[in-house]
Amino acid sequence: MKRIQSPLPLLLSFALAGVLTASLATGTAQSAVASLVQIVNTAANPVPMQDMDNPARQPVTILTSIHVSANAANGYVEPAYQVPVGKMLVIEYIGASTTVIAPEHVFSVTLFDSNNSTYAYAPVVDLGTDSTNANLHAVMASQPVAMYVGPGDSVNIGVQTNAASSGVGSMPVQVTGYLVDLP
Amino acid sequence: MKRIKSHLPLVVSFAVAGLLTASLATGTAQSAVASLVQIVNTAANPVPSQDVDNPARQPVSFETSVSVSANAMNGYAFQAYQVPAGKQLVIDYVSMNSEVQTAEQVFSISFQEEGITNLIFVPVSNVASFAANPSLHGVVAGQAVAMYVRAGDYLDVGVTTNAGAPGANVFVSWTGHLVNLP
Repeated sequence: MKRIQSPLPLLLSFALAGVLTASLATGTAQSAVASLVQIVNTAANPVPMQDMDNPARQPVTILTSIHVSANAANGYVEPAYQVPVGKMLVIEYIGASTTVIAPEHVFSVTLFDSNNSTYAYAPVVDLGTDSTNANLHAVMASQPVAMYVGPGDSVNIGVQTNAASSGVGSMPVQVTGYLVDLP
Repeated sequence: MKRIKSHLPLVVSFAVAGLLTASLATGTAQSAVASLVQIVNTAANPVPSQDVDNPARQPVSFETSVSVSANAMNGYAFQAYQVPAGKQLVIDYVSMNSEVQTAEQVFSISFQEEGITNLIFVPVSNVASFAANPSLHGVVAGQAVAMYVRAGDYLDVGVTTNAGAPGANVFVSWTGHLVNLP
């Protein structure tokens, strides 16, 4: 019994050392997960950053031409563009320009998504008649917009008119924007 | 001497325990103090960043129907949208495309944060009459805007007209995005 008792303190010391080493190891693991850092760059030496969502990284340009039949109030291109999976499309601008024959008037260019949940209208301005042909008049839209279309959805583009007999032969429409990666 | 020897393992164990406790305490103290770091990336090798408030992350869009009664100057869609708690609404673009009877002229569409004087107006253009029905004419608006509506507040949508006899029923669209508040 005496022989067993004498190494007891030594055994206890090993046990205590083991427990403390385990604690220390746990502490090391925690500090590997997150350590505090203070950035000390100054105004004279700023950190160069690069925005991964910068519009110029994934620009989108949609070019299409829309026809409106005689006596029809609308013409559409469906779909004009499909948003890739895992991306969000941000539309920033709508532009359109053409000449139409009186008495046709173009009211607006419309963008809407394939879910019919998002609409953006861009007004079309009548700029006046052609000096050599008073029946021809120029129409134009140039509008910054903000519209968001989700992954996998489509963008549809339409033109609204006063449904006159001339119709619109071809109205080129340009839509610009960019894609953002979704998590 | 023998008595001291017999307690030696115990003394060593306390010494080891003391040392390890001191190490552990020092480690804790060090991790609580931030290390100073200078970022040395250059313009040719910039730090990639991502704006968590990019508008594309929480887009919002709505189309609201607004009726203006005959001979009334205004019509409203009250509480057309409520901003979620913990978010700020940013309205980016408002537009409309509709048709009204010729005696009715639509002047503007408006957005107001309910209960406070946070209000924007967007002008409406009355465009040409329809070829087959001259008593109808188109009304169009489209405008990039910037309006901020607070968490929990309601957005009211309004239409202002010339109070014509026909009245009007128009659809107003708007797009924007939400930003998380701290």
